[in-house]
Amino acid sequence: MVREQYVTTTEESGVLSPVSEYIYMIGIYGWRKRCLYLFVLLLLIILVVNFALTIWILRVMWFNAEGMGYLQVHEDGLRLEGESDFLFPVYAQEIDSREDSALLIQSSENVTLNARNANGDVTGSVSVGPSQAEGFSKYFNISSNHDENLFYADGSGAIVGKGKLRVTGPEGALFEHSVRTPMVKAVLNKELKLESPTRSLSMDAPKGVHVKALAGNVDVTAHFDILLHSAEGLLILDAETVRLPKLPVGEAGTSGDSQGMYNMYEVCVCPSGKLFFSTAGVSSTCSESQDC
Amino acid sequence: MVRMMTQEQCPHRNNVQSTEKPQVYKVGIYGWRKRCLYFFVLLLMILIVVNLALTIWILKVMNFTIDGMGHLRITERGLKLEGDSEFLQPLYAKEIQSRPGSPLFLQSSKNVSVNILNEKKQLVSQLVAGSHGVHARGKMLEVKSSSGKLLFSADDHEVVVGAERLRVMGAEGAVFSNSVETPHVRAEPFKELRLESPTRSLYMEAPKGVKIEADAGDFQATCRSDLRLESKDGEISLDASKIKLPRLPEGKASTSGPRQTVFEVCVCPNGKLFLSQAGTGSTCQMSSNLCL
Repeated sequence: MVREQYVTTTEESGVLSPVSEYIYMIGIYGWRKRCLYLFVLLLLIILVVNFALTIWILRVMWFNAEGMGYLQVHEDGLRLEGESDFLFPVYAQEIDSREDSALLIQSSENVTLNARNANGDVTGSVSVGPSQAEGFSKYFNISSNHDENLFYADGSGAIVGKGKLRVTGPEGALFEHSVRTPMVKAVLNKELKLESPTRSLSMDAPKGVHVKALAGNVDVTAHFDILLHSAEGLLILDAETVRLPKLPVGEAGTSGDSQGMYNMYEVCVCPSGKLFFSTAGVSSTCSESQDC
Repeated sequence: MVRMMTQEQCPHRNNVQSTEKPQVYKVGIYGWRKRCLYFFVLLLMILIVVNLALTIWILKVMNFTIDGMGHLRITERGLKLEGDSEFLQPLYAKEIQSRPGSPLFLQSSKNVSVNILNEKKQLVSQLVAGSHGVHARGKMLEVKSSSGKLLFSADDHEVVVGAERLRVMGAEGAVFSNSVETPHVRAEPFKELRLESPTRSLYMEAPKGVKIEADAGDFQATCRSDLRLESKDGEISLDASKIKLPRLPEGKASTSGPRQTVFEVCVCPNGKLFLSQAGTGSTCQMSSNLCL
């Protein structure tokens, strides 16, 4: 238009010609156009790179409409429905299962619970391994839901609390030293046997040993001697009948020889039951000797 | 340049040029279109730069690499993390498993506590490995062997040791406050068995009978004061071919004082002892009807 005006002015006459001299053609062409094209191209390249980066993010993070892969990010935390691998320690204050689900902790090696003190030394440990379960600590305590002590063990001993301790293994319990108890009793309807298979069995009590069988017998059997010994007191056989079933019967010898060779005695009894002996004669000598 | 030359030639040629090319039009971007273009390009540049900055910021913050974010890899089946991880709020999980060939540690600078809650969020079972000890709490604690055999269990009523054998190795042995119930008490081979009551009495009581056997040795009963064998309704039988009363006192002849009645000890053929009042001669025959 500017050019057209110029031509028109020229055609008309010199009157308009001075006016058109002040108008310059202004536009984008030439080197400016090429620069603009180049600049747009540059922006396009940056845009593509940026888009590639974004695609890269989406790809690496497995982005989908709900989250990243199986991972969902909520305002109150993360939720992961697949498996997660933690190759290094996981620090957490609390690990919970879902409300309707059990929490399973497993390993092909040991699973170990360690508690430490301020210095970092392990003070309590529970470990379950392929071949053994092990715990070490100052003490181990089992209590019921009512906080009653059921079992307690520490370096100085193990305590079984209320109720009773039952040992059901076929070899029973083995005490390398002593068992301290006020009573040893048999299982109901069974016999109680005290046995020392290869050595002796002894019963010691300063105030007396009492053997009672209120509805049966007391039998004492020995391969060799049975010795009843009282240091200062009496030996009392208190029964209606006292029997010596295997006493040998003496045989009469020649009167002269026997009298001269042996001292013989006769057993006599006081009214109180006290036994004493008296030198035997041809007839009873009990009445002649008295020590009642 | 071509156009510029054309333009330059035009003034010189004047009418001739104008007449020769009347169809040539001006081509360029100018006026309001130019300003819009400038503005648009500027806007595009700003957007691209901001977007790139945001993307780089994401990459930076997330520590992006080709495979993932820092040590975190998001895989098609879940998540993989090669560094330490830290959760400040509860971590909910269904299963915690160690890598194959690697142990699993749960450790803490205070306590490690495994809690089982019921539907009302009340604690029903608990295992605590702590700085002071290991504590288990619940209705029951059971320890079983790999084959499912019960080794140990503790509940409100009793503690059961089901292993083949329970061994108590402490130097002070075992202490039972109440009673020990067992069918058999046995000494170890080549060791003696002692039943001892250090300051009081010792009772052996069995209604159906007590049997004492020493198959390869002696039986010995020793006391300081009285030793009493008593049978309420039965008899006392001393069943041995030799019976000795080694410290029986000997009666002495007494010529003065009143004579007390004394008895003579007689023996039936079956060994039954009975008393007969002593006379000048033996009076056993007179009373032999007791032997019937």
